[in-house]
Amino acid sequence: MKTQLIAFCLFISVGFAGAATQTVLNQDKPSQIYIKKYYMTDSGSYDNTYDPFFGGNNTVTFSASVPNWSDWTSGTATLSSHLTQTGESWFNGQLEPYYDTGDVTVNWSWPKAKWPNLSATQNISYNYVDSPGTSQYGSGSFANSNQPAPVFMEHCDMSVNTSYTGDGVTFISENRTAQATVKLRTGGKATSKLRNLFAITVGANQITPNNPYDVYLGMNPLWGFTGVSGYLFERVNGTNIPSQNIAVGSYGNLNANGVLYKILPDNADVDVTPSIAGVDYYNFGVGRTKYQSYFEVFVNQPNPGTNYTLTDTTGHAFWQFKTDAPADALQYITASLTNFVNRSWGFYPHGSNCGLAGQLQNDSIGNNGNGHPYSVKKVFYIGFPDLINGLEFTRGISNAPPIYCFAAYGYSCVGAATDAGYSVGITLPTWWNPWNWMPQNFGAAVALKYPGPLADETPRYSN
Amino acid sequence: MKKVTKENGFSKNLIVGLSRAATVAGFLFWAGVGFAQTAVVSGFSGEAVPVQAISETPPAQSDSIVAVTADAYGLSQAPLESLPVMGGTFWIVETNGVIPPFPCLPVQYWNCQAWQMADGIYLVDATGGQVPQAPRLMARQSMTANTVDSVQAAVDAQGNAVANLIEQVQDAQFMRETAAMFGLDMPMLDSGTEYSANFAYSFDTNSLWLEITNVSNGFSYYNLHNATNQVYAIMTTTDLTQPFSVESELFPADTNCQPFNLQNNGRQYLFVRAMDWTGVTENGNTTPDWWFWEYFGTTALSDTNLDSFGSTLLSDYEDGTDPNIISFSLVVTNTYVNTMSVPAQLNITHGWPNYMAVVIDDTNYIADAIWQTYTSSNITVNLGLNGGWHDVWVGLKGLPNNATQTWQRKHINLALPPVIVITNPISTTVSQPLIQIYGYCQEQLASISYDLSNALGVATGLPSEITDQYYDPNSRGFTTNYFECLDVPLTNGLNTVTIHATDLAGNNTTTNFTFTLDYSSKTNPPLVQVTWPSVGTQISGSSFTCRGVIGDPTATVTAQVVFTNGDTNIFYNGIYTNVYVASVERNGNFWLENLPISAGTNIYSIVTKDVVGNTTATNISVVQSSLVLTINPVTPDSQLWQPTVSLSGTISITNYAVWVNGVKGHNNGNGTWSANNVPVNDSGTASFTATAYAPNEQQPDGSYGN
Repeated sequence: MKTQLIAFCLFISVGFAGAATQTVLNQDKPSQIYIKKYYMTDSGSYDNTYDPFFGGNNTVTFSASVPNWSDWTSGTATLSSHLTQTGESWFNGQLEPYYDTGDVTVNWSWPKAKWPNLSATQNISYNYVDSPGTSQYGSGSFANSNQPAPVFMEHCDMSVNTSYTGDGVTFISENRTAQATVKLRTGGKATSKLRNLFAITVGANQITPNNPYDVYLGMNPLWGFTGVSGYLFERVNGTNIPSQNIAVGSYGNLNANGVLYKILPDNADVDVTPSIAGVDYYNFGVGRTKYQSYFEVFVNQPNPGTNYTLTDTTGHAFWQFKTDAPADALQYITASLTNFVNRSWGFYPHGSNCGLAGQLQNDSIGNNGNGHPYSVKKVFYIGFPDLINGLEFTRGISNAPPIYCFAAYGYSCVGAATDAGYSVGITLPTWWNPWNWMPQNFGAAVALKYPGPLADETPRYSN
Repeated sequence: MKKVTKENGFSKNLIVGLSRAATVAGFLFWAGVGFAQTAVVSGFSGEAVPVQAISETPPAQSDSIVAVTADAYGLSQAPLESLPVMGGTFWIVETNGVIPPFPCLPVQYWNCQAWQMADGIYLVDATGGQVPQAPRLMARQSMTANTVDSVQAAVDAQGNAVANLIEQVQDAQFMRETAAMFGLDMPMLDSGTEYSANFAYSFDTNSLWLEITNVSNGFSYYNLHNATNQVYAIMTTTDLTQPFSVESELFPADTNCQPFNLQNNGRQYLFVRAMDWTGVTENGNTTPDWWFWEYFGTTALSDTNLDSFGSTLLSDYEDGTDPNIISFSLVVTNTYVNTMSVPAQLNITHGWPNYMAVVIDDTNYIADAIWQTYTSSNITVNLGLNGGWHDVWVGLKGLPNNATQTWQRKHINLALPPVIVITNPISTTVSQPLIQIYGYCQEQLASISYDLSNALGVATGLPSEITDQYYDPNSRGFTTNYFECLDVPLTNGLNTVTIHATDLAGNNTTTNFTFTLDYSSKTNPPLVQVTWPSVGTQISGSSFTCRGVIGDPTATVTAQVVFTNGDTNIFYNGIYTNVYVASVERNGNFWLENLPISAGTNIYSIVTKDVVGNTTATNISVVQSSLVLTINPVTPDSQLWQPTVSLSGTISITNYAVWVNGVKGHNNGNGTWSANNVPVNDSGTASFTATAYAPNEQQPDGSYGN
């Protein structure tokens, strides 16, 4: 074992206006759902020979690619199409091209700092014959500002390939692959004790591509060009997928209410990509709610605001284990514990002092006359597993109360409140200290150990 | 060319008969490979009589060569009293062979046995009862070997002669009946030994005529001659007493000779007929029969029937549209499987499939498809032996060869049991009591957890998280899954971590990893660095949060106020109260929150202590400033995940400049300040440090003033 002392250059000074002054805000980030990566490729062709005898033909090829999207990062995307049309001229009966868009391409690129207001530049060239002997040529580019890149929360792995006769011979094909990888940042500080309950929700719709035969009638990737529209398939948001069929990452399937409860560590970054067995094409939305849990200690001092006064021997200390989790999440707490959650409890004498077992009583909280008053309140973050530990401690006091002894080194309300904190890793002033057994002194010690307002509603981390 | 027919009473209809007869005693019908063929010939008249319609007769003599042969051909014996006096045909088999037939049975043969070969045609045994076995019995007893062969040959010849006679008579009878079906008369000849020569016929090769060219490997091959119109129905029947039905239709590309073939499908007799179908309609339809039949295999349809997408068949016919475009989806329960045979279902939403093809891992699936008759919407796909992703293509189409094909693909992963790899800790011997385990699996996981076994016992079902998945564009699926097991508490000595992983196909893997906790290498105290505040910082407010980084995240970090006398302990009424314990994150970041600061200089001793008691003490001093400088919390706090945010706060002096995280803000002169585009750090807690500069203080960009 080795001890080192690093002595910084110490100096004594007095703060004064005129020297640089600092203050710091440390604010925990909330939990967040984000797209870690979005990948999409889509390519296909449509070839309609509407006049086999003269060779009249419409051909469209297109492709789209979003190779690497990630929220709040730089990236690129492209979408391109090319339509050509040839046919028999009504004027002279000759086969001639009378429409050719050339390659129409939209490129998106965005730096990290510009996200999500992305700039798109559309390059276009065309060549068509609008009347016999009159050709129109053109090219150019223009910028569409703030046009979002085509990023979706989706999974797609589909190919369709069909040909048919009807108004000539048509061959149509499309291969589309897309996958959004979704992650959850749990937020907060990555301390080993903080694992919180999360409710993850997912809504998903199976998408059914229209039959190509129908689509071809209205299909035109150029004329209807807006953003990413114009694919061969018209996407039809089909049936809502039952929540029980939706798995979230490696955490299993949602329940019938569309919720998956999961205890996750703080400041973790975990995968919550939904997956639906057997479904090739669906879009989805992912939500989350972080339910934090708390340990609250209350001290009612006979002389609030004073420091240690040995003559003060009355007062009270009590505690509460509280969680933001909704009622249906509490089903994961055993029934024997639910009575103790979100209620304050105190340890009281039951008969003679220092002779008989005490008893646990529910203490309604309040300084308004309707509840038990307090002069010191401190709130601490605890994890959900710790919440259960605390409830089990409370139940233990209830089921097997120790001997109540309001005396030095005796176990009274102060001892029970201190041990309640200890059961969840919250270090309160030790009750076996010869001074701290009295609520007046215990409250003062708590206030000193955890500075701030005496009745401090702001949760703090376990020390 | 084997058998031909000519145009007859069926206008522009042709017919070819094809039969397959059972071989008897090694004798085949005329020709063909496994088949004998026959034909219908015009110019005959008569009534069709079934060949096998023979009355009951006494049993044949069993040991006669003639009797044995007649038995083999299933002939019935005819009693003398049933024989016609005149008008019959009596073939007499004597010991020297078959003699020309008589119209009546000569009296010298009245005691001989007779068999009916065909209608009015009889076989009479006048051999005196020769038996096949006799020559060999004789040879064994008194004849020489050469004589045996001669006698055997004589017996064989007699049997062959009788068999030939029966077959020719029966063939003649069969053709006569066939001719009768078409109103033709074909008399049975009553003399000569070459029956085949008597079945001569003629036809008009300037008109439509049908030719059979071969029968092979389950197919029969034909030529349709002089088919000059658009489409012809190829009609068949196996029984001429039953009507013909359309089996195929032919669009002749060669008007002189258009080949085609038919599947025999095990049919013993097949009669084929061709009919010009061009423009043929029925039931008042405009749509021709051939179009109905081409797409639906029946003509029992009407113009107003609807196609697979709701248009009338007439409109499809007029537009040249395939009326049976099939739309379907390919459904599997799970795209991750652990067996090579995968049940799949075809959910057909439009159309009526006639053919289906399944192709695995073949980008040239259209060309390579082998179309089979569609039988069921429930299919089984065989992925083969190789694990990993497979592309399963299923195609459906309607009846015509050039019918619209619709293909659907399903991407199915034949998953192998997952393999778990640990990347951290690198060493199996560790020196910290709490470890973070990181690793990966090469495939997507449905669940992962771990058990921990050490000196404290066994804890099971401990949580692990998938932190990321790699999406492989080439395989179009998730591959590598990265996982973590956080805050795994170890005890001295051996610790076994058992990781349970289940993939999406249901394969389970259990893998043990052992870690030995050994503190012997912990000889130095953990390194510590205070990030903020730096020494001498003037701090606004009555408390602050000190933050820093420690080399050992399992070490404790505490702070104590150092009084001017050097005493770090507040012993007030016997209680030590000023020990502040930091929150330490897994990455070593620590936070000493709400450290009290009072007027003047405040000195803090930052003490770190690892699990074995190595201790580092670091002193910092800061000064409480009289300037009031605050930062308002960011609301909504979701903005904290953005690269930058806008901030605001309060400041008690109006001409001080405010900088936040390197960005200059604006003192609004009313006790507030604001700053835009303030960068946010990446960790789970956003830290903003605001610094107020007096007008005479140089700011980070070298400037002065607000």
